[in-house]
Amino acid sequence: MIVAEAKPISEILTMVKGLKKVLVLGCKGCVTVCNVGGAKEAGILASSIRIAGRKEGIMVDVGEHTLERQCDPEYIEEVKDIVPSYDAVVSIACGVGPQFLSERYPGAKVFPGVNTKFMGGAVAHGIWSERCAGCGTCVIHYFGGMCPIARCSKSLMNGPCGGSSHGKCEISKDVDCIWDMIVRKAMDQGRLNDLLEFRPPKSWTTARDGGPRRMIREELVK
Amino acid sequence: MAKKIPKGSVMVLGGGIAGIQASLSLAGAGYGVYLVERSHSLGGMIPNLHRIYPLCACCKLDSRIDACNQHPNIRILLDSTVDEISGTLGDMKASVTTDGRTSEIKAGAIVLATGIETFDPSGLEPYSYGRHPNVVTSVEYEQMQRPLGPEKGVVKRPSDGKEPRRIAWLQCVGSRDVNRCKVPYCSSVCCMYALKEAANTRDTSPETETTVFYMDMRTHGKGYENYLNNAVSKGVRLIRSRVHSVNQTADTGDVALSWAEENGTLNEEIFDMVVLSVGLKPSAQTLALAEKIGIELNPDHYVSSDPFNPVSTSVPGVFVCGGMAGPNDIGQSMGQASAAAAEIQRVLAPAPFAKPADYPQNNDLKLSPPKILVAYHLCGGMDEELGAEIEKIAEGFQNVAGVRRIDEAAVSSLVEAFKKTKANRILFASCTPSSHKPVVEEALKRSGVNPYLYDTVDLRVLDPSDVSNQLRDRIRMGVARASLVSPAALVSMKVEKRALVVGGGPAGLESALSLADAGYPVTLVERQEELGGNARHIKSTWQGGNVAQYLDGLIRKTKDHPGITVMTRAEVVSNHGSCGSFIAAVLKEGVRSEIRYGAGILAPGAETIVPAEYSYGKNSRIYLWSELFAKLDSAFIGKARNAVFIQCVGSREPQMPHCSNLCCSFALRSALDLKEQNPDLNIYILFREMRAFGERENLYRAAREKGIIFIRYDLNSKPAVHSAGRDEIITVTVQEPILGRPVTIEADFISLQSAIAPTGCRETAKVFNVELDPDGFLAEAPEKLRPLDTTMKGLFMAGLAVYPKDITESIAQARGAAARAAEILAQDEVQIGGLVAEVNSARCAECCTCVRTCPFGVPRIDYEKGAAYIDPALCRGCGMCVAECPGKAIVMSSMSDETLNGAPAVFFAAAAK
Repeated sequence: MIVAEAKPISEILTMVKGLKKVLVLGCKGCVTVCNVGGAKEAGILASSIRIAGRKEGIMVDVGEHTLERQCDPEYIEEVKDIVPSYDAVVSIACGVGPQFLSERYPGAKVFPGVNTKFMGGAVAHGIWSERCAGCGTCVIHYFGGMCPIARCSKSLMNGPCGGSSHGKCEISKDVDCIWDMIVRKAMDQGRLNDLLEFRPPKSWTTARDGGPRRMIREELVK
Repeated sequence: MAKKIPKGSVMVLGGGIAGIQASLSLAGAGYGVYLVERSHSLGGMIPNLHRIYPLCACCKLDSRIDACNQHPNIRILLDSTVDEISGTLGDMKASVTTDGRTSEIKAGAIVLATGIETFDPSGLEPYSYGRHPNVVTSVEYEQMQRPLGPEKGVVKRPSDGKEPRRIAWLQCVGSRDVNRCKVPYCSSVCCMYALKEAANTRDTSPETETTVFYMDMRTHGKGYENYLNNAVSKGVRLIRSRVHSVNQTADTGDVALSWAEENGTLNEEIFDMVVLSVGLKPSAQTLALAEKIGIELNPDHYVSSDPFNPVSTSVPGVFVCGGMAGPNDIGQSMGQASAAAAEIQRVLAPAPFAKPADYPQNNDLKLSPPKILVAYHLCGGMDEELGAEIEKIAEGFQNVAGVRRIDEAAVSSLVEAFKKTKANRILFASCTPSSHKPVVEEALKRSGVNPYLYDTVDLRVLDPSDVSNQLRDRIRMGVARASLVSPAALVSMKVEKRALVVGGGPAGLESALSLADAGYPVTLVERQEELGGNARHIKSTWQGGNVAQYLDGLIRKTKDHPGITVMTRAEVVSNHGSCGSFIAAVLKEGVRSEIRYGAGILAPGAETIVPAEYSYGKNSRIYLWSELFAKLDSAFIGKARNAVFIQCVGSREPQMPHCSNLCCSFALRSALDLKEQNPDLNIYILFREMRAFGERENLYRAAREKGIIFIRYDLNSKPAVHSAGRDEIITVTVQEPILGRPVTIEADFISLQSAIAPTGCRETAKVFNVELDPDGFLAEAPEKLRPLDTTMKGLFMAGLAVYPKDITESIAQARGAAARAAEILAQDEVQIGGLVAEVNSARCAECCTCVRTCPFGVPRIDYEKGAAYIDPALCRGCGMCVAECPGKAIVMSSMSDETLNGAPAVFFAAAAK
């Protein structure tokens, strides 16, 4: 899933400062699952904005609504009747949500309520970890099912660097050296030789380096 | 039931906690019960106590008294005495006198639960009781402490009404005293109650100094040692000295105590007040009765029983429990009460008075507008005007159908009021309403309404400085909430009429046999290859009973019983389901099988630790208590000159704070046995506190008479054990507190009384999803006064896994737990659901938040439904997932957003008017 975290409330309050009517828009997709942008969080953010307003002596009218997803135009359509009546919309979906909203409602002020972090998963409740860098050409099968692009600090493709120590990366003792894990797993499976196989340099044209990406599936396009 | 046994009802004598528990257990198993009580109310000793940790006593007792009152199969005879009992098991007659009229009652069996009296210290002149106003008994002190008492819980000394600032407790008044009052035994409960009184005094008035003068601090029960440590940390001062006499100082009313320290130093100190911790004795009237019907008494005048049949008497068909059986605490008394019920189920088939209550069809009044019956209950001593005020406030609401005060016969008067007022829900106001919930739910069920259509108002938390406003607001809010409550979903489930017993030690075997004899098939699962558990290492009970012989018989009976399936070298690896319908997976030698059962008994036992101190393992003559008699040959005993017993090896230390309970009695029994074999053997027992509680005190006295030497040591000067090699001589050096200097003993052998640790409990707790207490033993159900219930409904516990104890108490617990389990197995259906969390699948994002945050591990993702699923039978209604769900997909009917947001609106609207 796409993992995000809430923006500091002070930052959001600065965005909506002086506004009388604000709509907080949640998303039932990834951000609900990572406990940052679902119906519950929409309610909490809306209350926080109301409370902050009252402390300033302003009764801010804060609406709350949660869309099925904010990355499909059909769901963005659901709020077409209410968005115009608000001074601004705070979207707590990933970075896709506020942009889809801005495109659909060009007259509306749209603010992001969360910082979108990475593609990853929950390793335990409340702890998420990055797993995919979205490079466009998956190579994890060469590396025992682990991605050195997303999980090595330097995205090294040919083995660990000198900063690997006792299985940890030199940048922090909380970061595993993925190359240490790749090599150990290969040893455990008796497949260390596979890592010696020659592979041509990776093409980065499918990654962000090739510019903003767009994907067309001809068979799906009418 | 295979064998032919007589059928009958049961008469229970004594309406204290033991009698009440025995009656409820028996009625639950289908017997008609006559409960005969001498006084004009049920409850016995407990209503006189200030607290039994931590609430006032009545809250826990009231619901049970009510249950007795309401049970169609319990007939209560108050102000009644039994003059004569005749007949035999299955056909007994008792002549009962009630208000001067005598009648004859027939019963198949009789339970004696007539309890104890406290020792009257008036005859003991040196204590000045009765002559000095500021010398009171502990019972009188508890009366002063009760918040509902005459002084509203503020202790004032009798002579001048001054609040005492220095209070002394004198232990062992009327206990452990053969010289002055002919009471040789230890009353067992006084150390704990004195600590309780002193600690509560420190809590309510921290400026009051509390001092307890004692001989041995006997805190040997479950969690008791923690209670002692806690009391000390609260500033309760403990002085090891028996105060001989109490002297009055002129005029002031103060009390002077003089006392000697262990080293002989004399001290004198002035106190404002002295509390005599009076001991227990069997009640006089029932002793007369016992003698009349020919029940054997022991030398201490308690009903004598076989160590392996703790609740049976010398007369078949007459059973005993509680204070009549010996100086017992509340937990033990209740365990014995249930055990008596189990024993009766073996020999008597139930003859009920009436069929169990039939509930009318539950018709949920979802659509009809809320009409609320406001009911309230005032404990004795509460301000009566509260009632009038509640009525005035409640009558002001449109949706209140009526207001009623509920006193006795709570269920039936609630049902009647409910019907008369045509209400469809209840608001119940009382002290600690959670303890009245069963009553309200029962009343709603009998009225044919969903049992969760009620809300409560707690009168205990009213701030005394602003009662009127608080009461008004709470009633208003209660009415608002009650009108928004929606009926909770309920499902009926068939009870699986089989029991599971975990553990093949005496506790497991006894409970399995008890249940099988009562006609329920049992599966017993034991991890080891052999049955018998720790009892295999024990030669005799503290009373001298032959354990090996008993155990052989027990194992044979279990194996031969057609109703018991024994699985050895097997363990339960997973368990799910709920009370009445559990499924356990058992792994036996690599083969997995499933057992469906309705109630279970956990008796996984405990193990003795292997100490790393006292040169254990370095010398061939240093033994653990559990191996002493297996490894020691009689020829060696005959030749040996010196033997040393070291107590508290690993127990009562910071890393394992509990007391292992049975080691003191083991050392005393073993020392006496060794002395018999070789009278020339010098035996030294090095101890910290000699916990020869109850009638074990007689062993302690006998040991001293036989010349066994007792040396007390402190944790900061433990004995030092030296030996040069495996077969070399052993020397033990210990500081002698009376001489004030170290002494060295050349020991031929040493017995280390190593601690009993709850080794297997953690695994059992994990598999069965039950909780552990702070010492790591199985925890008691949170409702209190349920000493044999685990934290999971339908699972009970017995034996060492509950806390360390001797075999006799384990047997009582095991049989008691069997009776508790039989109460469930006797039912055909159980209702599940109620106040539980429900998932709205359409809103569920399957994020796993509930799965990960539930403290009981209940929610799971139903892959077919594509949503989280919360089993209503397992959900404990804590509400954690409801609060955490990021999609707001989980609701609890009584605490929906609608109620939480709606109630304040109704409340403010009412307040505005």
